[in-house]
Amino acid sequence: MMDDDMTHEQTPPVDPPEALRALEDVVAPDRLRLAVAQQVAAAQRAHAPERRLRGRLGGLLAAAGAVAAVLVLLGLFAGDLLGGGGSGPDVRAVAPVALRAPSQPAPAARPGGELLAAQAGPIAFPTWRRSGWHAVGARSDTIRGHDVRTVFYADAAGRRIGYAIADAQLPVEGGQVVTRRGAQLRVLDRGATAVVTWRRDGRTCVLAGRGVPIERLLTLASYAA
Amino acid sequence: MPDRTAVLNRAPSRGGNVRAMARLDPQALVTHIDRLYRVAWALCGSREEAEDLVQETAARVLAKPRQLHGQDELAYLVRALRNTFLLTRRTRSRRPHEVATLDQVEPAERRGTGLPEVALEARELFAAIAALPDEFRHALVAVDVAGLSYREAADLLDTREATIASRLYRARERVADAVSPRTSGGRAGEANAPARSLR
Repeated sequence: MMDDDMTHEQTPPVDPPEALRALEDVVAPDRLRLAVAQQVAAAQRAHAPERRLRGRLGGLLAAAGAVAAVLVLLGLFAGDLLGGGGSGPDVRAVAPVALRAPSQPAPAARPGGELLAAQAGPIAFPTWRRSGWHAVGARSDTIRGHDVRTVFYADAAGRRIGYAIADAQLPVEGGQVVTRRGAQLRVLDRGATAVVTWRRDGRTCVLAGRGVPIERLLTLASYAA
Repeated sequence: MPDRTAVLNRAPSRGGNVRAMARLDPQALVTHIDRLYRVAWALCGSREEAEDLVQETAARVLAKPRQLHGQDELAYLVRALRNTFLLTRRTRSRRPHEVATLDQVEPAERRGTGLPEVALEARELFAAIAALPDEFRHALVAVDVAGLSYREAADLLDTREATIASRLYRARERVADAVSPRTSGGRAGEANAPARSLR
């Protein structure tokens, strides 16, 4: 032990150094605040059915629910084996949606200013206003049976990007996996058209833009992933 | 005796959260996000790693409902964050160093105050804290950064309150020494302070 032989009585009383007060001014970055808020929201949604089940119906029904869940999982698994998962689009089929023109007005910002009043399942679209982007439109598409919700953003230079979220984990091949702020992202295209994809909450997210540096997309994606 | 003069005041919501078998409210992560971020930064010495650590901690905490076991929310979360830090540090030490496949170009960090001097001072402070020996650092982080009482810090670090007091004393001295060249001489009321102290 380093100094454990020093007793409490021997330790002179000392206040924290004044300099430590500077730490009070340090607050979490907005992107972290947003990311954690989204994690919490997703967890609360995920645990809500479990709480309701336990509270209302007790152990017997819980057991029945577990059996049902297993059956559902088995059904999904069987569906995958039979090719159900493979018959849908892959990520590259979704990416062009993020480059199309908006067909709906831009969603409004929610109170707090960090999230938009638009979401795909549990994932709320961010405003990204602190990163210099603002929402300019949205659209909703169905691609081979999968719902894809897209919000478009523009920056001060007029460049536009699209953030599309598909309602399932779509297969993806190729590209290059990179890590930003702990998030695993896959770069599908880094040329004139840049495309980044990642998975979250059982969904597939795609961020794409023309004439936008791939690093800009990766930074934004790391905030949203 | 618990130190109630911790530098960072406790969040108002802390007082009523001590319930023997209460569950952790996931919203506590949002409520205490600033404090957790500061604790993470002080442990890691890097704000980027601090962000990752907070998110990793949140993911672990939120993986299933959590019982507080008599702790209050902040103490529980600080413990979870510290455990995650120790786990990731051990894991990282066993893993080959990963090289990013793309050059990482991050935008300039926006600080909460927007004051460059404050940001610089905070960075130096966190660097000084991160450079402390582990035992000193964990004591100072628990009490002065997280705002835990001596008793809570002793529970967290599995030691005695007297040991916390001792480590804290030495940690504060070292931090004051580390940052004194930059901050001494400019503060009112320092004339009566010991030469090496910032008090």
